[in-house]
Amino acid sequence: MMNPLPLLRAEWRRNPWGNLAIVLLIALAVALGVAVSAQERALRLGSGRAADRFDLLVGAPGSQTQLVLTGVYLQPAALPLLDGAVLQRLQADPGVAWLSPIAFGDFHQGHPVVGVTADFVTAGGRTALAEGRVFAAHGEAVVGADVPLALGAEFAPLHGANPAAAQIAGHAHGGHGYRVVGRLPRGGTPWDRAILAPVEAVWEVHGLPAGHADEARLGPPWDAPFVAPVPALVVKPKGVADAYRLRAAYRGKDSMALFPAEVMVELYRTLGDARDVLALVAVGTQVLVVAAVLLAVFATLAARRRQIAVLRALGATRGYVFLAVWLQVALLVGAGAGLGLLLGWGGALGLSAAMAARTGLALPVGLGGAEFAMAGALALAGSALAALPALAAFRRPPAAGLRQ
Amino acid sequence: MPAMSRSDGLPAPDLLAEGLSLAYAEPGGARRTVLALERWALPAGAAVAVTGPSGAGKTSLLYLLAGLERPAAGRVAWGGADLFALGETARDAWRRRHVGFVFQDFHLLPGLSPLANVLLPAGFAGLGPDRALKARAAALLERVGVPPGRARDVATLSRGEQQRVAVARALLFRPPILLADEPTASLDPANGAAVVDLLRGYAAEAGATLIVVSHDPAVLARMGAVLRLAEGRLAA
Repeated sequence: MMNPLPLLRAEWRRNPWGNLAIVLLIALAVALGVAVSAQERALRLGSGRAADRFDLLVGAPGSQTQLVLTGVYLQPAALPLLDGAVLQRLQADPGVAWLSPIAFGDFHQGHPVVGVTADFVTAGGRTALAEGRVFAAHGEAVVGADVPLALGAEFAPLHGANPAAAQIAGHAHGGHGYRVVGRLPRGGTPWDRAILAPVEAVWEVHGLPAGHADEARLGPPWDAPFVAPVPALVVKPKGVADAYRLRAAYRGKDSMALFPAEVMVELYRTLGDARDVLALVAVGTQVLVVAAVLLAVFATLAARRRQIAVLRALGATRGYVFLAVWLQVALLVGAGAGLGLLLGWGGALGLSAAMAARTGLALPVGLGGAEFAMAGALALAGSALAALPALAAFRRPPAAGLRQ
Repeated sequence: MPAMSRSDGLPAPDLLAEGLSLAYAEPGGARRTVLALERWALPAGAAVAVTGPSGAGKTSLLYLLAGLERPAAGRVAWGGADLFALGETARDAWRRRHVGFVFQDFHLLPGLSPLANVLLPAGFAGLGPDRALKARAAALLERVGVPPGRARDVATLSRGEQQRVAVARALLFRPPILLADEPTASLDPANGAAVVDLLRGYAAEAGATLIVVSHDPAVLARMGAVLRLAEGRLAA
């Protein structure tokens, strides 16, 4: 047994800032890789969760990705409109449990007013509201958890995709105000910032037919002559077989149907590729940092040859000086890897918070096996490479060091 | 002085160096002989100064005697231990148990206290000092005049105090052999004399063999015998 800790303590006291800088450098390189990896998984988990309510999306033929981004994640974009006839056919299909148009257009203080059905608000009766009730008339609305409007509050939305521009160029729809009657529970999705209104009201505000001969009625089935074109439809099929049948049936020249998950898988593949590239960059950074650390150790080792020779003259074995040099490097790399895990985790949390603030999408950040493996691999590689300077110290004859 | 006694240490061995030669390759391929010693026998407990002009091979002789450097030919035997017949690890272990070494430039570890410096060799083979060894180290520091509470960092000590801490470190394991390389060359005369007194005092009490390389006349005058080297050979 031997105990080189006093030597390590002396080395630390001799140059605490230099050693700290090395640990920090390694930690930052590890944090980069950990943050990229954790963030990518959080993005997948969070976005997947947000798509839960959207079993089948139907839209006019065009970009599938855009349909998902706009329909599920409320990313503003002008979607091609789906002909009313498709809605007619779908609402008559026996395989449909419920369906809802997603109609955009208005904003209130940056919050999109989205026209939907009551079934969409409650996910077919499965989700209870946090407070209040579902809209039952044209002038009523349900707000997302993050919309700063109290129950009973009244507001008149402005038309326009860009809320800032709408303040200037837009116009309030005269006489078309809403009163808040309910609030959705927090879902960690962009819908937390949306205002949900009856789709009939949104149609009417925009001078479109309001769905029914009786203008006060809400919800499907809509009457043929009064159906307006919509950008997207959410369909809840009755069963898995219906889901696949509907998806096949509505893929054609006047509509496209898709499971958001299948589009997400494509996106995740791209995301995964981006993560792989970033991970490669991170690994490259780590290799460079560890190489720099080893070079620094070799440089200080040249200056410490005499000290090591003195230790040998005082009776230290070659094993002792090997252990002392190896431990010094291995501890620096190990501390850097551990700190890097924490920094990377913190960085991913910060990124997620920023992303949530921008989009409303909650991203659950956690450290998983991949991140621990990454930090562990670096610590292991660093410890293996630390054997090089340690071996140099091991092999150097003491008299040569003493004569320097 | 119980702290200095090595009644429970190892017995001092006789030294026999035979046919010892050391040579270096010079730029250009020529070999320069640094040391060529026919035979040198030294009884246990002797106190000898080794002197001579610089380049005479004094320090090389010391390294050979400590087993720190391998000769081109010849052997160094301390009692039954034939140093270069031992393996490297066995030689390190022998050195730790038998040799106390004092350098010209002290070579303490800055950042550590005097006590931690004296106890450093305890970590070479073992997890650390036990209570008895700690007490011994503290007593040694008292004895050399640098009480353990004197400083938190040896770097803040005067040069004379640093060399005395180095002497205490050399005496930690009660070595039967004490080797010193120009121990007074970095000190003023008063401190130099104090260090030589410490070395001689320990060797005399403990019956240890003391070999001091020096060109300091004050040191030579205090040693029992003087070995003169010139160009790697014994001079008359």
